[in-house]
Formats: sequence, C-alpha cells, structure tokens
Amino acid sequence: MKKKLFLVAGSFLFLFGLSAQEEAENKEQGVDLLKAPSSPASQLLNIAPNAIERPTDLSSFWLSVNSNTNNLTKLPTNYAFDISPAALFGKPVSLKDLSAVSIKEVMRQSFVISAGIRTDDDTVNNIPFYKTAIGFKLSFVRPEWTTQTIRNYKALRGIQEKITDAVEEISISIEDQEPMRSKLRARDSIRRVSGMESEAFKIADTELNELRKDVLLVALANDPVLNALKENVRLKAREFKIERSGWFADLAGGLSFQFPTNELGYSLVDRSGAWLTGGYEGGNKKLSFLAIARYLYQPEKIFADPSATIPSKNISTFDAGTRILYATGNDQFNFSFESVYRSVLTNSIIDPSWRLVFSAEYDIGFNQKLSFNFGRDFDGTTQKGGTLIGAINFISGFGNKRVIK
Amino acid sequence: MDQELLFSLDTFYELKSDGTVILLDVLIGDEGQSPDYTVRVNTKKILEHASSSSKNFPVGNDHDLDGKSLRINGNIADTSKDSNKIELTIKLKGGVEDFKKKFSVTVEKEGEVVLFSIVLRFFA
Repeated sequence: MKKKLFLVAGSFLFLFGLSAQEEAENKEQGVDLLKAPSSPASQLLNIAPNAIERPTDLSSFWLSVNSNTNNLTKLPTNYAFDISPAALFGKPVSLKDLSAVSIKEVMRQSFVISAGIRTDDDTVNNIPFYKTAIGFKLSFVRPEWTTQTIRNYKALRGIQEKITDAVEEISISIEDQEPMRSKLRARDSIRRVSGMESEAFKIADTELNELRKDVLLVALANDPVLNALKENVRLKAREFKIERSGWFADLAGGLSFQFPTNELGYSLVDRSGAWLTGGYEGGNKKLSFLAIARYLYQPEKIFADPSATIPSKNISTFDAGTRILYATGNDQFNFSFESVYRSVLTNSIIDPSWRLVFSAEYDIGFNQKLSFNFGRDFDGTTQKGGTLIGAINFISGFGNKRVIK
Repeated sequence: MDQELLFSLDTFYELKSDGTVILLDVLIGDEGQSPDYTVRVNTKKILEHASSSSKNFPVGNDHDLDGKSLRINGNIADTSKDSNKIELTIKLKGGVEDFKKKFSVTVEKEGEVVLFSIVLRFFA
C-alpha cells in the first residue's frame, strides 16, 4: 500500500514538474521576454538587480558614490545606480502625485537614469579592463486610477485628516501642562540670556525635546478616538493598491562602452538597446493589450538564433510582440492572444521568424475547466498539431471548490 | 515593545529681520507614501490638510513672524508597496541660517502610520 502511495505521489510530482517546465519554456518564448529591464545600464553590464543602488536624495547619493570610490580615490570594480532626478532635486513623489496623468508630470516622475561600471577580464592578455554603461527609463502616458482606487484613496485621506486634527489638538494642549510649561519657559530664558550656542541652552533644549516626546507619546496613546482612527488607517493603507485603467507608453534605452586599454581616449561601443512599450490597461474591465518593440546591438543572446549559429559581434536585432488578454467579470471565460516577431537586422543567415498563440479557458463549474491552445511556433509548426479536439484540455480538481489557475 | 512612531521637535529659528520671506519645505518619503498635514503660524492655518510634499512654501515676511510659532502637525501612512521607509524632512530658508531636520523610520508592519508634531519658534 505504502509503495502504491509513493508511486502515485511520484507520478503527481513528475507531472507537476513537467507542466512547470513547459510553462517556463513557453514564457521564455513569449512577450514577457521582450520587456524592458528595470535598470537598462545594469542589464547591459550584467550587474545583478539586487546590487543596484537607488539613492533617494543627494546626500545618500553622495554617500553611495563616496563609499564605492573609496572617497573618490579609485574607480569602483562593480557599481551601478539608478537615480530619479525628480526625487534627487525636486519634490519627492507622494501617493497623491502618482495619480497625475499629465505628460509633463508623468515624465518628471518616471524619468530614471541608470549608470554603472564594472571590470571584465581580457582572456587573451589576462588584464582586467573597464566597462561603463548609461541608460534611462521614461513614461509618456500613464493610465488613470480606477474609480475604485480613487474611492479607496478618498476613504484613506478622510481618516488621515481626522488624525491630523487630533495630533494638532493634543500637541497644543500638552504645552499648557506641567512640567512642559516650566521647561519651555526655562529654555526660552536661557536662550535670551546665554544664546543658542551655550551649553546651558543645549542641555535645556535636549531635556525639553525628550520630555515633549514622552508626554506626547503618552497623550497620543491614551486617546481612544485617535487609536481607533489609527487602526482604521492601517487597515486601509495595508489594503490600498493602485489599479489603473487606460493607455500607457514607456521608453527605455541604454548604451555600454568598453575601455580595452583602460584609457579614457580609447573606447568601443560594447552593447546597446532600446525598448518601446505601449498598450492599454483595462483595470477591472479585464481587457488589456500590450505591445513591445525591442532593438539590441550586440546582444548577449540573439533571440532569433536560439542555437547560437552566428556570433553576436556587430549584430543588431529587432524583436516585437503583442498580447491581448480578456476575462469576463466573473473570470468564467478568458482568452489571450500573443504574437512574437524576431529578426536579425545585419545578417542574412538567420531569417526572421514569428510565433502566434491563442488560448482560451472556460470554467464549467466545480473545479472543472476547459482550455484550448492553438498556435504557430517560430519554426512554422502548429503548436498543438492534430485536430482542434486534440488541443482541448479538460482539467478537473479534487477536494473543495477552488479557483484553478 | 511597540515601535515608536512619532517624529517630535520643538526648536527656535532666528530671523534676520530684513523683510525676507521665510520659505518652508515639508518633504515626505519614500515614494508612494501618503501624508496629511496642517501648517499653522500661531493659530492661523496657512496650509490645511496637504497631501503631498511642499517646497518653497512662503510662511510669511520675517517682520511679521517675530515671536510667533510655526506648527506642522500630521501623519504619514505607509501606502508604498515597494518600501516601508517613512521619512520627513523639514527645511526653513530665509533666516540667519538655513534649518534642516530629517526624521526617518522603517516601519515593521505594512500599512503603519507615523504621527508628527513639529514646532519652530521664530525670534529676531
């Protein structure tokens, strides 16, 4: 009996493994592969995303540069950063600002400069040389918040306003209480007599601020109305998520150089890329459309040449893809249509190729789903072969009713 | 022990008394956090329930501000899905020296709210 159970469990694991692998392979071929990297410069230099520094103000940016250059005395060997000029030099972007959709404001908020530097090994001379990259990301059009998002935001703000009113009232009231009143008077007298630079003032100021914080913490914590408001705002803030609906358009690009002799006067273009992404985000209407076009120069892997028959030196590639997703309100029926085009611009050995996939799913109730996939692969073969009936899958779940994905 | 989620400050700001307009910055971080705050000079509201950062906001002419207090009270809710860091930077310009104070906390619980109460007392 035990043996049988192991066999059944093993088969499930094997089937699950196969399905996961198949899904991963499908994704690798799909439109997702063409998406713009989060940091173009770092991707061109092959610097891991978790190693990218993202300073949010000038002082942290300066600290980051200083620590990576040993106080500006040496070039870093592996360093990348993403900076937002809006955050560094302008007003930080608050939640409300993220609802703006004017082109000027969207461009200001979304513009990010990425840059990086790293050393690479020259395998012939065994001398390390420097590579640098610079890139950018920018949105032109951003979808508006959905009606539900605006409603949730207003609810959150309503509670925040009441909290501010309560904090104001409590913080003013504590100044009339002893020992706060005496401490305030004493500090003011010391300032008038000895000045703000005097040791006596500094001591009085520190004592007053410590006392103020303690008194305020107790007063705020003992206010039942404020506590209820805080609990409510926590709930609303935790659940708050931005859903958008409408058109969007983003652009990203980057260029990397290598310095084979480690001299500033001699550099070669290493790799470059540009990504244009656009589409329509349906929000809760559940219709979305995505289109991506990508240009790469000397890519690490040529998408149109998966078997690596040609070297990527001096090669430019152009890839594009679209995806349409639709789901009915109750998620009972959904379909997607995906197309991918890939080509090598500067070489005639590799012909352009394309792929089309249509898939639909219908939930027929209690853990049972009909799904249908049909399409053409890059090599010209139909993906599911055989008849239409052969392409239809029937999925049935066990146990309690649950959503099958 | 619960995390202390209060930014509190009570300090002085020296004026030049030459007619300069005092400018205030209230900067809220990280990106995507939701603030609400009210700014008063003594009891007069000069900014009511602001919902984003303010930069170079005119507080008033330094002749009119001598002996008065600037009060900035409010709260910041952690609504960012990318960061739990909440920052508040207060800057004043136009006096004898520029003033800058930065508060920062990384909240342990998603959706937490940080309260703040700042008093800047003007004198010439």
